[in-house]
Amino acid sequence: MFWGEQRAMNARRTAFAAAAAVLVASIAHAGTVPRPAAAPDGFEASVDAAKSAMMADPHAALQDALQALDLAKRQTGDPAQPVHVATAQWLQGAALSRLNRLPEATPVIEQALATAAARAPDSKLHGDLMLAQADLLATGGQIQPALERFQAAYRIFGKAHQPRSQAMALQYIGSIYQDAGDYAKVLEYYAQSADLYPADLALLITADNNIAMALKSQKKYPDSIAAFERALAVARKMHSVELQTQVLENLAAAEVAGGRLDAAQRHLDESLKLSGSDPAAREEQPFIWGVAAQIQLARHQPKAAAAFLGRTFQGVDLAKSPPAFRDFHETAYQAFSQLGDAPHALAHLAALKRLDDQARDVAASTTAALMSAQFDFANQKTRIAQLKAGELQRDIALARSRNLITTVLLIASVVIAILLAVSFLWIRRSRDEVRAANGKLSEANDALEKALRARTEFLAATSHEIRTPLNGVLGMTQVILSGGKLDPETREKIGMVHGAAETMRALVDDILDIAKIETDGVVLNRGELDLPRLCRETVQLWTERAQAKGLELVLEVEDAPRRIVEDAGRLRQILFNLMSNAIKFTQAGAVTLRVGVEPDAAGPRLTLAVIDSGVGIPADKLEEVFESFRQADSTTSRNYGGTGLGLAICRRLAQAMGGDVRLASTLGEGTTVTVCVPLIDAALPASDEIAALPRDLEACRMLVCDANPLARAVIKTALEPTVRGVEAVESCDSARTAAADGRFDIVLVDAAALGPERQARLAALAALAAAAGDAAVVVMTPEIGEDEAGRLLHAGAVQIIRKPITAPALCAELRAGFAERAELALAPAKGRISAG
Amino acid sequence: MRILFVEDNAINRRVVHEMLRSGGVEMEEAEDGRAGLDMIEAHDYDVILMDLRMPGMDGLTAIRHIRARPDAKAGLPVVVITADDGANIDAECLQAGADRVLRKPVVMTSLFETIVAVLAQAGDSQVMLA
Repeated sequence: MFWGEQRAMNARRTAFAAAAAVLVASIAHAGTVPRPAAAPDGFEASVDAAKSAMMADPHAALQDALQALDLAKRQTGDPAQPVHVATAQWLQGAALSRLNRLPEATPVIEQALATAAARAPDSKLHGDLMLAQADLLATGGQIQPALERFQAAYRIFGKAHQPRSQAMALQYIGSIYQDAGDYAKVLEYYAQSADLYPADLALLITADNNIAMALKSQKKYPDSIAAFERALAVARKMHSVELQTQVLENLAAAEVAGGRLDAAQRHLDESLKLSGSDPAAREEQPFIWGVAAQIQLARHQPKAAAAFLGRTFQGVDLAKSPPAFRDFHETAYQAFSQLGDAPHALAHLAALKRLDDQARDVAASTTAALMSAQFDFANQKTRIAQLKAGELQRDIALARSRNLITTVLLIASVVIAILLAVSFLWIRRSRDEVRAANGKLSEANDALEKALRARTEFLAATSHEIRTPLNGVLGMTQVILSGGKLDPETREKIGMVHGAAETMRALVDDILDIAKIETDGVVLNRGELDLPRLCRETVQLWTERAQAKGLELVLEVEDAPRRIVEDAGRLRQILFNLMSNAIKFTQAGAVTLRVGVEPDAAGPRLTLAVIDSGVGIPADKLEEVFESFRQADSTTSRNYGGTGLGLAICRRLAQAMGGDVRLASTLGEGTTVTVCVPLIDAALPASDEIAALPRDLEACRMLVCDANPLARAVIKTALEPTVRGVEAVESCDSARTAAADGRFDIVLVDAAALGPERQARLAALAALAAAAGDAAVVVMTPEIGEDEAGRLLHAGAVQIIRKPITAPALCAELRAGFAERAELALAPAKGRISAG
Repeated sequence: MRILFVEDNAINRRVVHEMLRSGGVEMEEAEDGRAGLDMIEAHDYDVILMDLRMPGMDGLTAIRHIRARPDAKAGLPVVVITADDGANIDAECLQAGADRVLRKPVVMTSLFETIVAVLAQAGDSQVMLA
């Protein structure tokens, strides 16, 4: 864990000590993490070197990380290679982030995260990368996706049994609320993190320090001082000079604010003494002088205070000072005002105003983002709009009063002093108002959150009651349809019952899904997937419906990347919803799914456009259709059915993937809905993708065709760990369709699935073998004579396996057959008959 | 292969029964947790399928009873079949000792694959393909 320091330092001084502490601890901790034993020494050594250099020398750490990456990339053939590459990329991203090269860190972490999600899901590495990505997003001001990923990281660490990392994730969530000025939540999260993992000093000191900061912001000085004293005790136990220096100085500042000047002086003296003995702690000295000035000012010694402040602000450009200096600008303004030094007082007042404006922007935008992460309600938007309008008015008022100050400065210094005092009070009041407004928003937030939870629970209970009878309907239709004894007419009718029940189940799922998303956000489960195939399968689901309406269904996947990393289930859900809408609202013409890639400043984006020639959406309703439980016209739902949840779900999902949904429509001509998400190519293990012919059984993709569902399950389960992929179908017709596109190397078919009668069986086998092309067709059959076996081979089988047989024996037979065919240079005419 | 399905809803019992029969597997049934435990005591099963919400003894309690047995039946593979969709259902079931969780409406393919998977997990991978 190397993340967060930069962000905390830029944003606020408050969390600086905290982040540094987490950093120190994580590196100490990193040394004890167990690693896979098989990895070569060179890689391990580079990883260790990068970790130990990360804190003190990020440049060196970057070099070590790049070397580790290079070594990992050369480990071809090692199954752990992708995970090693991701580990090296994690370190590379961490080093880049430490060097403040955030645009370079982002894609590196993105790619490593995708790999970890696919190759080592729910591992510590997966969680670390999720956390890293969240922090990069938060640093970039994208609070909403950051928050979702922090929460995801928390869940991953939970599954990986990493309570320490879980506690760290909670602290990050706390820091988001710190930006929002929601100190109650800050206290809650840090307390939770301390509960979760009390054994770790570094986490403890972070929690205590930030709790103390939150209490100080709430003006609860005695509590704040007590919390800093706890943090100090921990810092002493850790023997960290740097942390002791920082906490002592924070403690002294809280004591000044609380009126305990003697204690403040004592702690400050100690802090100053310690700071001289450590190079990192020396960087604290300007702030120590600042607190010293606060003590002098409280003792009515403005001259002495001004002298200390001179050292604090030495070499600091007052027009660009970072937020860490905020409180000291306030001290300086007061000191110079008391001394009658109007120009200096004014300069510091301007700096104070600038920093408060910045902080208020952060607070306002963070709060807004937190809101929108959970809610989509109009009254919420109104509240935020009101708050922003209020800020605008205050800004105008402040600008006017500043102009006034400048003019009056030329007239009389007495008047200036009065005006300065007034305008200072003005600023403080406006800041307090914003804080109060944030507090009210946070209350409204809590109330809405409770209401949403209640709704989700109600919906979950209802859906349970609906699912139970649905289980009866769908279960029976599955059983009836899977039996072979149906006449076509009955099959069609039962098929319609089954389809209707499936639609009903999809509706129940949709309703529950949107409620869950609105309450808890989306958690993605990314992995590698075959994009053209996913599109093909989704479109196929709609062929029948489209034909029934006389619509043309077009799939354009020529420009689509083949293998990508994304959440396959969610991507399928998006496409399914969009196709459903398009077909529903189109009476004549065509529905097209077009897949492509478009360039973007942040990298290539995958676009999935569903184009229909339907009724269209009026321009003023384009945004409304994205709202939950809503269609463009409330009469629409009577005409077309549905819950109107599809687009709302699609947008939420696309946003969770880092993209969005675009809508373009002409009334009466049609609608184009385009989903665009960042394209993550699964290019990493390229070597086995290009191999034209499989080298061994492990590289084979298998199609299994057996009418018995138990047999299908047994074969699939037994083969899955052995071969590269297994698909199972129940009828010879399905097998022919599936095998026709050439994606299988072996087709294993049970003789009973070929048909009941001998001649028909041979014809079906011949047709299957023809459709399968280069794939090897293997037939499983009960004991048969040599003549019959010869006919099967003649019809296109390359191997015959005798039943009954156990699953392990079946695997052995397949392996032997494969080896023999390889030996015979893949001559398909030379079949093999097993001993059975 | 002997399978026991503990479920209070008669239609759902029949559905799973028919599904298993189409794969050539016979199933016995019990109407609640208590009756299920009695059946397990009296007979030998390979897999137990268990609903959660039942009058009398619920599924989670029944699973805990199975796991607390002193004999080898404590290790029986148990698959939960539920219509609940709460976020914590999986965790609760696994904590109680269930091996897998299936959602209603039951998908036939998943039912068979899950049964085969828990059998393999229990060390019984010798199902004969006849």
